Amino acid sequence: MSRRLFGALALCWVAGCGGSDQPTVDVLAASSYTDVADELESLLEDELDVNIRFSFGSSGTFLEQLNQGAPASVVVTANDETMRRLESAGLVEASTAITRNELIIVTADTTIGQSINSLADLAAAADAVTVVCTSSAPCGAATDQLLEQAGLTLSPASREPNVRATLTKVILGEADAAIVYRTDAQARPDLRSVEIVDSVSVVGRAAAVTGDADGTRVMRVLSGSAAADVLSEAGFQAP
Amino acid sequence: MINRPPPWVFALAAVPAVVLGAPLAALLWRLPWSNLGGALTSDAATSALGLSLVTSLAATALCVVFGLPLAWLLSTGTGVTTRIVRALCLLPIVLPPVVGGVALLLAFGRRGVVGQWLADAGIQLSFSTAGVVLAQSFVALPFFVLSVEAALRQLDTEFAEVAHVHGASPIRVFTSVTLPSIAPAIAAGAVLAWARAIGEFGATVTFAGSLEGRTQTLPLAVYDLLERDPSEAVVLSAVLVVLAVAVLVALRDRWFGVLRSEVQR
Amino acid sequence: MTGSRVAASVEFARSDLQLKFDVPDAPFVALTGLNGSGKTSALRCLAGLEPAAKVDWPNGAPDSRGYLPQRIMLYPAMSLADNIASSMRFAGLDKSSIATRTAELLDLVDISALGNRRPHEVSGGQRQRAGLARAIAATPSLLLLDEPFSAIDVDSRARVRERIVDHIAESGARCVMATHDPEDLAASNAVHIVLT
Repeated sequence: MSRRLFGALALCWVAGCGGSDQPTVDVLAASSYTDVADELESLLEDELDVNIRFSFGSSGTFLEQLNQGAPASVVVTANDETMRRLESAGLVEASTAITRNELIIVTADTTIGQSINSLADLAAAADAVTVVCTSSAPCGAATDQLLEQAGLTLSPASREPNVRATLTKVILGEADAAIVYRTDAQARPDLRSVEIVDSVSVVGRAAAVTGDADGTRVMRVLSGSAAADVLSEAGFQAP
Repeated sequence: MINRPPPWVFALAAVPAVVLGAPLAALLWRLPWSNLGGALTSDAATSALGLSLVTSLAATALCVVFGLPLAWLLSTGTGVTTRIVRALCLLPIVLPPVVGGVALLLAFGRRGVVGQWLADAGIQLSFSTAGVVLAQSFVALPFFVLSVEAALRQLDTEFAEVAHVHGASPIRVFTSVTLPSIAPAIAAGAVLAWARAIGEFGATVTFAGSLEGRTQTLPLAVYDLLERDPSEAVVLSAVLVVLAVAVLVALRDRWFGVLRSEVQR
Repeated sequence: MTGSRVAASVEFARSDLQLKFDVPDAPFVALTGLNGSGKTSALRCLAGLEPAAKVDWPNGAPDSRGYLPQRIMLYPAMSLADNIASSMRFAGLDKSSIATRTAELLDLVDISALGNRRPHEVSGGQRQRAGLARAIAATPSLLLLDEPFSAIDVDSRARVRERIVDHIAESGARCVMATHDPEDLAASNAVHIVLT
């Protein structure tokens, strides 16, 4: 008896069991969607009567993951470029832009941090410990574009692997300032945020995995107005 | 051969051999041999390799200099303090490296318990090469201390007693009798610590950040490249693996060979 | 101070062992007794290795000791020559006289050819010879030898014993040895005490 129960549990653990016999749909999303995942999940589950399972990763690794057969029906990337690569590899159906996320400065409550009121201040503050994303991450590529566009240079103390790590350095007070997404700043109201004039933004895109029917259904909800409300609540702008 | 294991032992041992060997083989299989040279001589690769060698050797040196006295004390102690300190020494092995990095920030970051005093003195460890060395030493130290402590505990105390009776001071006993006797364990501990230091990622990126030429070591460069240029990432990974395997194989035979011949009698 | 007929009085108690004996004031003293009677512990008390022991030296404590434990305990990382030299280095002798005397001692115990070998590369008897040489090297005032000739082959045991005994007698050291061998007593003319 107990052995049978154990067997059932083990099978459940291996195969992944929901609370009911609803099908499970896997969504592979960029880590910048972490904060909004819970609301999106309940929205999708209500609308579609399925069990939604989010897994987060770095957009840059999605291509390799899908190639290696990662279980996913829908992919949500933080920027255009990554999605274009997935599309041209034929891994996903035609994608839809669902969000726009603008770069913004967050500062720690240090003297130097408080003195920064613009991107130009940040570039001029030689003593400030500044952190930004690495060029290979979407936020870093956008940062590079922003600086080039503004004709400014920064000498960051570190180019962090992703936007979360970048934000953490300011939260812990190790850095005076960082360039992150508006959604990150909104998720941390305790940090001071500084608007960037003529900022650069990244467009987040979603797409169903090629030939995946569940994915197509999820996409219909994700591109709808209810999802747009949830996303805008979290600080994302309309694409 | 009295010692020959039965065939099923070979069968079981083949499993971990494959699990450990397959990723290495796959890495070498995927190497883009045609543009190997270009990938190896890029600025990011050479500066990361140089930085990794310098910092990992510095971290190993720190482990030896400060780990030896610690191992000596731990090997002689029996009290509660000894047990607490030994448990602390194990901590970096158990701790996920990223957590170790956060803990280092909380201690030695510029707002950290110790770090704020250092900051007042004008010393900033986070985001610096010294911070990389600190993070590597933090994760590598247990490997050195534990291997040396075990050797010290196994060493017969009567060697030291003879030297003591012959008039050697405690420090003289340690340096002339004890240390040479455990030299193989010191060497093995140092190699383990070095191997752990050169492969360090989580604590380094959390505590020291990642900046080319200053804090971006080889593993950090690999991680960064993985998203930009996966084939160059594979090349750098292979460099790291080949370097580590070469050192481990060469040194292991040498030192463990010494141990073997001494145990024979 | 001098003139007591007792060189040392020892009292030592451990859960499994009670020791109370006097070491007579003689150049050679042999400790005998059944296995487990405490010969090794008695030597350890005289060597100062048992902190719990009460040892009284009526004629003054020895200012230096030489020690050969039963298991010999040559330092494994040192050659036989370095083992012999070690006790002279600890005693603070100068380098050139250490080198000369090490060569003499290797010769004294017939292992001149083995000076560069490490302990694990030689036989038990050869190790015991080196251990003897290490114990007497720095001409200590008290020698403590535990079964000092037991591992040396029968054919050469008498010769090594005679040389060591002569060497100790010449140096004026006092020697206490634990032994089962009646030959050891005879050769050293030892005053014999039995531990019970």
